[in-house]
Amino acid sequence: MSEELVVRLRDARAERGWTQAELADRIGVSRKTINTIENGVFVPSTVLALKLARAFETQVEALFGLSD
Amino acid sequence: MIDQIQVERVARRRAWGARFMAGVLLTTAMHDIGAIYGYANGGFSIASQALWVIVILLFLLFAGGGLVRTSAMRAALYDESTIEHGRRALEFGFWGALLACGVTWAVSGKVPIGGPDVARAVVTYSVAMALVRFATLEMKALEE
Repeated sequence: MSEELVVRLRDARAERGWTQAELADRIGVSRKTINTIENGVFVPSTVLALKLARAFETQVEALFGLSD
Repeated sequence: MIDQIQVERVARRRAWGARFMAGVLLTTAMHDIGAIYGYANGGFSIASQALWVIVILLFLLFAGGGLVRTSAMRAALYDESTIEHGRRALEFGFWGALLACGVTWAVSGKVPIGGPDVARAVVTYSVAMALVRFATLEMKALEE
């Protein structure tokens, strides 16, 4: 069984019409952090995932999930 | 508000700085080791050490925002992806140290090498590898 992290951050950002830099600015990180999360290069900490969810006014599960 | 353009500019400069430091480190170490074993003149050693110390101090002072950036800017410059890249770079440097140990052990069978030279070779190679790895990860993250 190999479950992988599914990142829906890019879609959520596109829905809001935010750039990576705008989102980064909202949660106080650099654009490259958003970029690496969206590309699946880097898995954010729980704190950062919660900050992202708060920025989008949603639950963490709406942004990140596990593949079946 | 964080100036993301400024953050990227500093992060890019830091990545180039890491590459430059790796280059300086390897060049001076190779020159000095060459001087020790008679392949080059020895006049460069003290100057190279002084240069190296200055480069490291400048890098530590300014690359991460130093004293001139705001706390928000410094936080963005040392955010999670940067810390992760640092962690991966250190891991890479560890494997570099093991590799350098193996190489110096193999070379010591042919050429007599003193303990300080072995230590220097291992430290130089592992730190240089870590710096290059950090720079590569940072540049990749900035450019994708």
